[in-house]
Amino acid sequence: MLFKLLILLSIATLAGPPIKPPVQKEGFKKFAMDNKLFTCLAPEKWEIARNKEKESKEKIYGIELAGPRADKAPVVIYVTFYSKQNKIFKDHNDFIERNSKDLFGGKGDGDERYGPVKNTLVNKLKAFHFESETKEYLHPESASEESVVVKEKFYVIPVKNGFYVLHYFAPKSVFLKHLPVFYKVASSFKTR
Amino acid sequence: MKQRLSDKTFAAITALLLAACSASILFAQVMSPEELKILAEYEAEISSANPSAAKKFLEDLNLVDKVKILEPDRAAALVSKAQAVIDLETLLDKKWNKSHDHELSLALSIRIDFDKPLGSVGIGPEPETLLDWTDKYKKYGDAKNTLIKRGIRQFEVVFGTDTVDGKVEWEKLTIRERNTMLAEKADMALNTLIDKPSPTDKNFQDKVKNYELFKYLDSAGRARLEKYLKQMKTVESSKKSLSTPQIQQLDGLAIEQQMYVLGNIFDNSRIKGGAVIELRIDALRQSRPGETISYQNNQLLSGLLQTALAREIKGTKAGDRALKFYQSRGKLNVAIESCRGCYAKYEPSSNRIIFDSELIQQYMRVKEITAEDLVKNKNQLGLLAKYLSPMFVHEANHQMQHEWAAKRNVYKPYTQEDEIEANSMEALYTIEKLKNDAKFSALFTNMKKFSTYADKRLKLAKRFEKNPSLFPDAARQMYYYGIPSFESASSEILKAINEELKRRKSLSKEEQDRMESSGLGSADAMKMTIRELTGSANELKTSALMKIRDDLLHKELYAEHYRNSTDWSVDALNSISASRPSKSRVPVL
Repeated sequence: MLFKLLILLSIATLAGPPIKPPVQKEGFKKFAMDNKLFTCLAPEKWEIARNKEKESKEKIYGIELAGPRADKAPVVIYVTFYSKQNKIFKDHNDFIERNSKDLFGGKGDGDERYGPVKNTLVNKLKAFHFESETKEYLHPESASEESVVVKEKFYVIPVKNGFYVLHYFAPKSVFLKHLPVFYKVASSFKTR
Repeated sequence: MKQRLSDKTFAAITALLLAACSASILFAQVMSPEELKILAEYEAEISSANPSAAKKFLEDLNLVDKVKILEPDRAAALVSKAQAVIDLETLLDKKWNKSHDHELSLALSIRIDFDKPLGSVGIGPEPETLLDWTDKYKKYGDAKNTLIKRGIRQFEVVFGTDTVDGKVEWEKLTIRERNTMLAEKADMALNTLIDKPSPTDKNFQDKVKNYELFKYLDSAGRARLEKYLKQMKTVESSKKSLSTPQIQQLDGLAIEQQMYVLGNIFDNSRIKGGAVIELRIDALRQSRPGETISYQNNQLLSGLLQTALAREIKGTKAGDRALKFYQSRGKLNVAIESCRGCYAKYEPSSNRIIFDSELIQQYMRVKEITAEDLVKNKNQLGLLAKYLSPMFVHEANHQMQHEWAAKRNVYKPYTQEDEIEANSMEALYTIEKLKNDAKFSALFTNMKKFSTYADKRLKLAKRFEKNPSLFPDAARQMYYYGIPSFESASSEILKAINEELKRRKSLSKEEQDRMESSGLGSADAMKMTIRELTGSANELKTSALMKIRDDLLHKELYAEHYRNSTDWSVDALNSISASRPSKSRVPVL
C-alpha cells in the first residue's frame, strides 16, 4: 500500500484553484506606552509584543508589531525608545552608523546594500531616515543556500534623554505591501 | 501566689488551639464547592480543546494558584493542555500567505504528533482531527481552510479527488510522516535529475527550480537542489568562454561530470576571465583523487588543526572565553569527518568538535592546495584555521553548554536559546577579528564570493552588530524557526512526564517495581533529545522521570544561564572599540 502511495505521489500535483483573498482594509487602534513614552496607531490584526523584563534590563522600551510571515521571514515593525542608559548603543549616531553601513563601514555591494541617511520629519519630529536591503541565509550552519532578501526602513528620532527608532523589517517580496501600515504607525507617532 | 493550670485544663486548651490551627489551615487550602464545579467545567472544556475556556482558565490566576498548591499534577496537566490549545489558535489565527503551506505544515507537525499535549485534547496525532477542531471552534474563511488542508497534507489535496486508493493508510500518517514521505519522493526525483545527463540551459533551470514536488525537500535535499541549480548556472556561464569542441565535451554528461570536465578545462588555462570562473567551478565541483584527505592525513591534520585553532582564537573576547573553558574544565578534541550537510558540530557522545570534510576540501580546491600542503606548511594550516575559527567558537560554545548542564547534573534540551548564545559568540568573534586581523578580513572578503560558508559568517556577524538586542528575534524567526524555544520544549517534556507518572499510579505495586528495576535510569534519560524523551517516557524509571521534571521546573536556572551569556556578549561588543574594521588592503591570498 505504501508503494501505491509512492506511485500516486509521482503523478500528484498540488494545483488548487487560484484563490484571491478579499482586499481587506487594515484597521488600527491606539497604543500608548507606559510613562507616556510614546503613542501611535497599531494595526488591529497584528500581534503586539513587549518584553518588560528585557526593557528593565536593557533600558530599551518598546513594542514589536508582528504581521504575517512571508518567505520564511517575519514582517515586523518595532517602535522603540532607547534611553540614554541603554546597554546597546552609545547614542543615535552609533545606532545609525551600525545600521546604515556594512561591516567595513561602506555602503555594501552585491546582495547587501545601504541607502543614504537623510533628514526628514516624522509627524513634525526631526528624524533621520535610511533603508537597507540584505540577503539573509536561513540556515547559517548548514550547506543549504536557502535565503530571503529582507528590506529594512528606519526612522531615528533623537531626543534629549535618548532616541526613538521606528523600524520596519520585511521580506522584499512583501515590503511594499505592508509599507502603508508602517507609514500609518509612523505618521501617528507621538512622543511625550 | 501563681496558680498552676491543672493537667486537664492544659490538655483542653492545647486541644482547642490545635483544632483552631488545623481549621484555619484547612480553611485556607480546601476549594469551595463552587470552585470545584468551575474547575471541573474548565477541565471538560479544555479536554475538548475549547480555546476560549483555555484562555479563561489561564487568566483565572486565583483558581490556578489554588490548584497548583492542592493538586500540582492536575494543575500541571491542565495548564499544559490550555497552553497548547492557545498556542495552536495563535498559530492558525495569524495571517498566512496562501503559498506558505509548507511553513504552516512544519509548524503544525511539531504540535500535532504522537505524545504531544494537543493529543490529550483530541487534536492529533491524526492530522484530520485538526479540521474537526477548526470546524467546531474557528470560523475561518475558505482561503485559510484551504491552506490548513494543504498544511496537513490532506489526501485530496496531495493526490486529487479522482482516487481514494491509499486514503485510509495516508490518513493514519502524522503530518511529520506525510512530509517525510513527500521529502523522500522529492529526494528520489532530485537524484534522478542529478545522476542523469543534464541539460543546463535557463529553461531547464527554471523548470527544476519551480518543480512542485521539490518544495517538500528537507533541508539536506534543498541544499543539494540549490547546489545543482548553482552548478547548472555555472556551466552555462562558463560556456561563453569555451570553444565549440570544448562545449561538446559536456554533452550527455551528468552535472558532476560536467563540473569535473570544466575543472580540467579551466585548470591553469589562459582563457580570459578563466581564473574567476575556475574558482567558481572549483567551489562547486567534487574533489578529484589527490584533492581529498587521506586517512593518514586526516589524523595528522586533525591534531595540527586543534593546536592551530586554539592559537587563532586567542586574544579575542569570545576566543579567550572558550580557551579558559578548555584550560580549566573542557577537553578539546577536533576531528574531520563528513558532517552530512552541516559545516561543523559538537558531538556530545564522543566529546569532539567535528569539521565537515567537504567544507575543508572545498577550501582546498579554491586555494589549490592539498592535504599534504596543509600538513607540511604552517602558514597554509594557519589560514585554514583562520577560515574555520568562527565555527570553532560556535561549536566550542555548544560544548560549554553541555558541560554547564553536566556540572550541575541537570537535563538540558536543545533549544533556540542554545543557538542564540552560540551564534552571538561566533558573531562577536568575527566582528573582533575583522577589526583586528587584516589577514582574516582579506580571507573572508575574498572567499565570500565563492563560498556560502564565508558569506554566512559575515552576514551573521552583521546582523548581530546591527542590534544585539534584536539578534535573538532574528535567530528565532529566521535561522532557527523549526527548533523549539526552551519554554516550548520544557512544556512538551513536562506534559509527557506528568502523563506517564499519572499512568503509573494506576499500576500494581509489582508492575511499578518491575518498571523501576528494568527501566532506563537518569544517566540515559539525561542524554535523550526532546523527541526521544517524550516518545519513550514509559521506558524510564520513575526516579528518572522525577529527576527530569524537577530540573525543568527550576526554569530560572536555565534562564539565568542564557541571560548571563547574552549580557556578556553585549558588554563584550561594547568594549570592542567603536572604530570600524577596515577593508583589508592585504592582497588576495
